[in-house]
Amino acid sequence: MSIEDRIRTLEEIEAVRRVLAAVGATCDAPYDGAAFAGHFTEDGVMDLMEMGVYTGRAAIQEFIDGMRARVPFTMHYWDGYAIDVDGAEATATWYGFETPNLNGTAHLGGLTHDATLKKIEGCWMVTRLGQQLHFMTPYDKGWVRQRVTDQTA
Amino acid sequence: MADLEERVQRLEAIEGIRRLKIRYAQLCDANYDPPGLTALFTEDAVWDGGDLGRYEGHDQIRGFWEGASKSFTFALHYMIGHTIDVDPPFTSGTGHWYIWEPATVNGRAVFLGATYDDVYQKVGGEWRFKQVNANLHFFTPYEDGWVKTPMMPMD
Repeated sequence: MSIEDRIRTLEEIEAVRRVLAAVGATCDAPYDGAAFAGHFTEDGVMDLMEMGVYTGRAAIQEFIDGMRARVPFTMHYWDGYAIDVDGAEATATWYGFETPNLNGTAHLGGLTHDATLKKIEGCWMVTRLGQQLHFMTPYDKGWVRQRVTDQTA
Repeated sequence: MADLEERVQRLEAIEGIRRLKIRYAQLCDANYDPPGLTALFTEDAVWDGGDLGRYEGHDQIRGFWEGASKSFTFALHYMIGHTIDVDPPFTSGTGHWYIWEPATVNGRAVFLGATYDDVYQKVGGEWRFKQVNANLHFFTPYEDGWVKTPMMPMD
């Protein structure tokens, strides 16, 4: 691989990391559904498993904007990224720790995430975002006593 | 300033070591996958956790993970706040990491807070752990917190 290609790979890894950080920030309260969905391709998919699958920017934006009513506060601590870039395509996995207010109660959330991205007109766009929920527990209980609180109610 | 080749090698080494540590976290979270984790260490590596024990070489290190896989039935290893140092010829390096770990240990929810001081070595083109020092700062039952019970017994 030429030195130019090696530098490009490192730059693209950093660029993908920046895009994913921006995705995380826009689903923190007070939520910016348009900005969040704007990081996806037109036919992008957000697969939240037990919380549903949302296809296309409009559906993704509607879900994120709807979070304001369901989850008045949360922060997404995202880190531990493993990013692979192959030309104009990339894959990523990372860890998430969340601090939402669900049903008026402080919660702690432990998740892992994965994504596929494509570089389109110079911008990395998410084609699929997935999440695996390991716990979403009331702060006063912990994941052994109550592993998951329903976030869709 | 170093030449372009050296600067690129430094960045590639840092990224390679970062991936090694995240792979370590992922395998720990996959019920401490003993063979998978052991393969991330050099043959003569040391994993030193202070009160958690010191394990040298593949056999001892694999035994440690086998024990962990029985008592830790759930864990998420959040590896954060790292610094990685490498120097030419980029076949070894050192790293410092923070870890925040919610886990279930023998049926109890716990929080573990620690830092790592690692030594890395490149073997056959792949980065491996030569030494892992895990510095445990708290290991507390979820219900107690680190002021009331900073260190609970492991068993």
